Amino acid sequence: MIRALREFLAILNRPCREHTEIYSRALDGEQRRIAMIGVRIHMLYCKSCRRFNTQMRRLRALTSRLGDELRTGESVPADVRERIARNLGSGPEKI
Amino acid sequence: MTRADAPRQPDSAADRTTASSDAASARASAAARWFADHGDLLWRFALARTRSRDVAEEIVQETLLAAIENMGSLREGSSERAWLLSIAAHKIADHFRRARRTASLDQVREPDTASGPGITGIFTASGFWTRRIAPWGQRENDPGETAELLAALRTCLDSISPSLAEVIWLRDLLEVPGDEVCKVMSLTPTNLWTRTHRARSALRLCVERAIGAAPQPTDRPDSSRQTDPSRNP
Repeated sequence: MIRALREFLAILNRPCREHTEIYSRALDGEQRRIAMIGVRIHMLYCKSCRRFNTQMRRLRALTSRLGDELRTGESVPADVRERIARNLGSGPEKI
Repeated sequence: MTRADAPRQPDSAADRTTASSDAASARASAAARWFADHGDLLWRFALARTRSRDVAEEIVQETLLAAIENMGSLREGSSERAWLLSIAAHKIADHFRRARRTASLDQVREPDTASGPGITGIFTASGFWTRRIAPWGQRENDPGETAELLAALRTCLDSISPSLAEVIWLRDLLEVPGDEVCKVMSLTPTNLWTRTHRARSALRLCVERAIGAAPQPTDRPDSSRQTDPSRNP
């Protein structure tokens, strides 16, 4: 209990850079809950961390949205497919 | 192992020709399968990054040919998709390097330093802000801001350092699982995370500049901030 409390106080007193790193890691779901509680409390009174982390989360979501466009985008056009298949069949020496 | 047990070596020109032909056939067949399974994704990836159909075609073809030549580098347990995407990312980086050399463009790139672009300069040595972060990107439901950020993101994905961009493309755009990215980029999970954070920070800084969000001077000097409680038990 005391150990957990100490760990929690240490998290609260971390510098801003570490809070942003913890938050960034949490964007990938790779963070322990206790560390994120500390970050969220820190963000209540640190405006720059709040803004920075919000920007990182927003950009992460928008990057993922660009990725969705990529996954559902255009397939290889037939003429391109034919040329590449032909060149692959003939081996690298003909490229 | 006796001589009789040893694998039979091609001992004539005809055997060597047959073995070579079989190997070439196996490589061509693997490439055809990779193209069928992952060609569309490679095409979209190359097209999104280069915005040129001709260059994208060249990249996809070069990727598959490089894959044929380096079949041995496909590690056991590693996914073909991540491996091919990684090769394509390198081909795209080569393309941009050639294009820059040809056009003699002096494109501004952030140095890939130990602490990383987007991180250096905004924190003091002890890890506190050197300036207040500008309040952009806070309006999630504002379509105008979203469109502006998306446009900036597209530009910035091309202008941050290629080694950092590769991580963003593989992890955040193509959503290749972290363990697969580690395998194809030969990184430990810790190194991958460090590079991912640096890449996202570099991207954030680039977007901030692209949308013209001015940094604000800090009103809280570092010396007035917190102290480490572990030093004062």
